[in-house]
Order: sequence, then structure tokens, then C-alpha cells
Amino acid sequence: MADKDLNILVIDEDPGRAMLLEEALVEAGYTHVVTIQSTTNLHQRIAALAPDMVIVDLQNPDRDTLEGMFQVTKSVKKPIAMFVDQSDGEMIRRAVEAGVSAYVVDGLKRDRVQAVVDVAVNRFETFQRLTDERDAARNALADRKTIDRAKGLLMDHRKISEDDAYKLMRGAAMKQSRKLVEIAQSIITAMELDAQLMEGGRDAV
Amino acid sequence: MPFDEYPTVKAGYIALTDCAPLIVAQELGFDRQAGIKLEPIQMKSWSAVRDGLAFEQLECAQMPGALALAMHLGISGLRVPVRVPLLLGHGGNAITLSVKLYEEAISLLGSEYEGPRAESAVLVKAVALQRKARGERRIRIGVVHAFSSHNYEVRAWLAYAGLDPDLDVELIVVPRSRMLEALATGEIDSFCVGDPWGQLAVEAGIGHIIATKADLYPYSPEKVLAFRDAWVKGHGEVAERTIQAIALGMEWAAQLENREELALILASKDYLNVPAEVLTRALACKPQLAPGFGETYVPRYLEFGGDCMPTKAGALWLLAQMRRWGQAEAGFEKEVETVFQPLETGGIQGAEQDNSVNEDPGRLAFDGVPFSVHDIEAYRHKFSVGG
Repeated sequence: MADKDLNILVIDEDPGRAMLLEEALVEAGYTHVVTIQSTTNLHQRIAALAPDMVIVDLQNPDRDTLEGMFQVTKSVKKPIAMFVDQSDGEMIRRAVEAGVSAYVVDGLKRDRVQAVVDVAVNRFETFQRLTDERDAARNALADRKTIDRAKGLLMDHRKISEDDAYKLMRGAAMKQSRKLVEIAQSIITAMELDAQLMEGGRDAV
Repeated sequence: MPFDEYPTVKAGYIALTDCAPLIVAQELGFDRQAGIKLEPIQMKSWSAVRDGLAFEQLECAQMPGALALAMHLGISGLRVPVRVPLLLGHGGNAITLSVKLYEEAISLLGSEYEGPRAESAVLVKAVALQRKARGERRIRIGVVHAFSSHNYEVRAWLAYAGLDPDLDVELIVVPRSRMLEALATGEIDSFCVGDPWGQLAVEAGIGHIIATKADLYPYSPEKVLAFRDAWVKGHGEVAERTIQAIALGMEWAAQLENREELALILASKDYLNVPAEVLTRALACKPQLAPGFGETYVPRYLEFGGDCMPTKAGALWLLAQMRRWGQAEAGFEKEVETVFQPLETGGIQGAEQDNSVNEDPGRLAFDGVPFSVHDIEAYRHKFSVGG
């Protein structure tokens, strides 16, 4: 059972990822989880929340502010260090690879920290996978649109059937060992250039 | 060997004018000339730069000298031994007041401030004391990182006017990327940041630059080129070529006739994404200090080249600042001395290899307190505030 009394602050500019992480932490039994996205007045807000642990994405520029608070000023009661200590190399490496950084109250036990970091790393990885899949799906859709467009241009230009236009493109792709979408892009570029030249030619005449 | 097969060296940097040597090395092909492929990577925070270096996502990086030492000593992030074989530039930092704070100060003083820039913290003092007497919130000053010369310069400047930077004002860390917004919205009243961001606050009509690094500690170290020590040891030759490429970039950046072109390169969307004129002014040491005013010549405002060899004295000077402001325990002198050192084998043709302690980073210091490499504790004890 997780520590119900652990105050966890999640700072993430990506609302989707922040929600995913907060849900996971609550499911794991952490009841004191606060998520903030906008980082205006971060300094005052953190001083007021006094978290035991802060989870923040590694690329977030506000990490400098967090570290500044913990290292220099006395506005936060307890000193906080990044991660736990030097001996946790493996945990830190995995967290960094997932894009997670964690700041914890000095003296917080290793296993308590590890449990939260594990949840965060896990959710960050899941989020990354989902983002990659979504991007792949978007790319696939964009590719299909490009291929359709090239097919249409070929059909118009050559007065051939859809099936023949497709076969022509696929044949070219296999011969040049390039992707179908690359061939489609070349066809579109070539035909656009052609059309421009025709227009330019007309102007010249 | 084709260029594509040259060893790739990833170099982290922050969007500041003094990242120029890295950018130029890549843009103008000095990397190719030296036999490497340099890949500058823009980072959003100094913490990310430090961690990128520590976790082997970068081989080298532009860094405040103090952050490199703090990383080496394990007092900022993971403890990772680093090596600083080259300094990247001089000056560039500008202490800037919001127009509102500036005007408040002027009205309290009863006239425009015409004293030396090094003593301009009296403006902050006038307002800080009034706010204290009235029980109002303290003036908030943003610096870019706790382990940065910006932090030490603001502190020393305030202390010189008799203010305690931890009690009379509130110093907070704000990342470079949020600094202007924070000043515009009143989240902070003042900041100290590297060029061109102070100038941009002036240009936007939201700030007055009232002191620069050149007015305070003109010969103290600023940004450095830091490597992971283990990488340098395992890749001696590539490390040397990297230093050579970046040193060539710096030499090019130092030439007067290249200013316009350098400003255009840095101004691009890929790098600083700011108007080129602002950078041209910085490179000519003629920043705009007040909204609606022309340029002011500030000797040594921002310079490349010259004495770019790291020295033990420079490292000790930074350690002394860390000691003065309670960031480090005593006794790290020997440990930091080895960090600021050119590579044994050279790397830069014709460069001075003397890692001497004679070059005084404290010369022409505005506070007139003599720095001693032999006793940094005695040095810091000479200050009545901090120390």
C-alpha cells in the first residue's frame, strides 16, 4: 500500500501526460497529488504547497527555478535534492531516458521514492508510446493522401485508369527501391513544376 | 574520410549571444576543418544542459563556469567529473530593472541616477528600504541559475550598496526563456541575464539596464565549454578536434569584420530568433541601456577571443563566490583547480598553455576587494555582507 500522506506535486506543460500520471498515482494509493501546468508564480505556489516530492518533465525550463528554490533560498523548509542519492544510478538513468525528473525531500526513504518514480517512468513511457503511435497513424494518413493525389494527377495526365496509375507508381518504387510515398511526392513535384513552366511559357509568349 | 563519417560531437547550448563559438564552428564548417561533425543542440534550461552532459546525451556544453564546478563537486545534480578546456566569451550579463521599479526608485531619489553603473544598486536600495518600512513585499530579482555568475554578480552588487540579498530582496531563479514574460507581468521586478535578453527588455520598453558584468567583475570567468572528463579521457583526439573547431569559431567571432555576419547567423530562427540589430550592438559593446535612448559604449560589455584559456585562478575565483554565498563547503580548492585546464596535448595552435595562477580574475573588481588565489577564505571574509 502506498503512502497516503506523501505530498506529490506534478508539473507538466502537457495536460494529457499530466492527467495520465495523476490518475496512475491516485490509483496507486497516493491521495495527496497536485498537478500544475501553468508555471506563473511557481515560486510562491511551491512554497505554499510544500511538497515532499516533485515530478517534472526533464525538458521543463522551470526545473531551474525548482532547483534554485531548493538550493539557495530558505523559502522551502526542507532541503530537497534531485533524485535520492548517487547510488541510485540505474533508477536515475531509466528516469532520464523516459524524460522524468524527480526532486525529493532529503531523507525520504529510497523505496518510497522508487515507488513513485516507477509510476512516473511507466506513465511517461506509455505516453510516449501513445504519442508515437498517434504520429505514425497521422503520417500514414498523410502518406495515403499524397499517394491518392499523385494517382489522380497521373490519371489525368496520362488518361489511364486508377489501377494502372497505381501499378505505374508501385513499379517505379520497386525499381528504385524507394517508398511509394516518395515516388508519389516526386510525381506531384514534377507535375507542379511542369504546370508552372507551362504558365511561364505562356507569359513569355 | 567523408564528412558523414566524421565522429559526431553533440554540444548543448542555451540561446544566448555567447553560444556563438559553438554555432559558428558548425555553420561555417570549422568542425569539418578540424575533422569532426559538431551538432549544436539548443536546451531550454541549465539543469537540462547539466543533466544532458551527465547522462551522456551530450559530449560537451556551454555552461556557466560555476555550474560546471558544482556538477564536478556533486552539489548540483549528479556528481560527474568535468573538464573545462576553453572559456567561451567574456561579459554579456545585464542587471535590468522593470520600468516600474526604475521609475519608483527615481522618484524616491528625487532625480535621475547619474552615478557609476557599478553602484546603481542604490536605486534598488531606496525602494527596498521603503517597502521594508511599510511591510510590503520584497523586490523580486530573477537570476538564471543558482550556480551562475549572474547570481554572484547581483548579490555582490546589492551587498556593495549595503543590502543583504537574502533578506532585503528576494532572489529567485527564472529560466532565460521566461525572464522577459516574468518582468512584463510583474512576477519579478528585476533580473540579471545574459545578452541579448536584457537589451530586448529595453527594446520592448519594459526594462532599464542599470549595470553590466563589465562594470562589476570585468575579468571574471563567464560561460565555459565543459566536457565530461571520462569522455575526454576516452576520446582524447576527438576532444582535441572539438576544442579546435570551437576555438576557430571563437576566433572568427572575435573579428570586427565578421560582426554583421555573426549577428545574422545568431539572429536566425534556428538559434536566438531575435532582431539582428540587437546582436550587432552587443558585439560592438554598444548596448541600448534605456528605452528610447541610443547606444552606450560599455567597454568589455561582451567579447570573444582574447584570454580564453581557463586558469586555476578562474576556478578558484568562482569557488570563492560559491563560498561567499554559502553554496559550497570549505576545502574544495585542490579539486576545482584541475577542472579549469587546457588539454595537456594542446588542441589549439599557438595558444598559451600556461595554466598559471597569476592571471587575476578579480582585477578591476568594482568592490576593490583584492582576490587571492592562495587564500579564498581570507578573501571572502573581507566582505561585510556574505562571506
